[in-house]
Amino acid sequence: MSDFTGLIAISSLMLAGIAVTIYVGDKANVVGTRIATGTAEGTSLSIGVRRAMLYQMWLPYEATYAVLAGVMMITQLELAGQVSSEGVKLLAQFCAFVAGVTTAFGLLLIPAGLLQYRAKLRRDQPRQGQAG
Amino acid sequence: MTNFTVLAAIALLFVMGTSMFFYLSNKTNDVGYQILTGVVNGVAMSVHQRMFMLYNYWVPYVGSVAASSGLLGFAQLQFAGRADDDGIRILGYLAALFGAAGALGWLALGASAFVHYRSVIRQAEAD
Repeated sequence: MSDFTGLIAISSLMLAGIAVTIYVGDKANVVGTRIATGTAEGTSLSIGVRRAMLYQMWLPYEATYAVLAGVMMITQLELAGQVSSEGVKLLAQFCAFVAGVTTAFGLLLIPAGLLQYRAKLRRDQPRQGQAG
Repeated sequence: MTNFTVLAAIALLFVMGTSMFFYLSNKTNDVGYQILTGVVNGVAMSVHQRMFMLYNYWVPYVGSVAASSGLLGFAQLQFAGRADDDGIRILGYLAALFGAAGALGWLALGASAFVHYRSVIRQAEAD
């Protein structure tokens, strides 16, 4: 593979990777906010629905986020090995580093978010029970 | 590769990178606004939740916008070095400068905003 082809591949993967991880991360944050506030588009959500959203929406989104970033990291490292230009190699390695940090963050966020949202659901449970 | 191919690559990367930069900046500011006001979708958030949003939503957004700008700038630099035409090379360097400025700007702005948001949340906790 020529260096220019490698550069095109690395840049395209970088753009696509950022777009996809941001999209998935965004989705996870929207679901997380709904779980935390207990409302979705003006509709109140029960504790059961919020708990289901935590395990069936938020958790898969976060896991996808971490896995996607991990795949991007490995692909960039593979691309770095295919080019001869030092500059292009360095670009791919930087991209892999950023993807690696994103993976680590995603993996750390899963237990932190689970603890935070579960605590919030527990705190809100008696209040909703009294209201009901 | 021809100069036209390099020019097309620089232009495409610039347009897509700029769109991404402004989208991410907008998201970062939206979350920052929610942290400052403590209200999300009309619901008041606890101090604990605001702190969680600061570290788990806002900081990653700032990191993403700064890192992606820096990477885009670096990629532009690599494309610029592959053009024979001076005009295209200058365009590539300008695009790289834009990426670097975006990364450095967000890092500086992010650091000052982070300190401000933390002080606002601490003040809310004290009240």
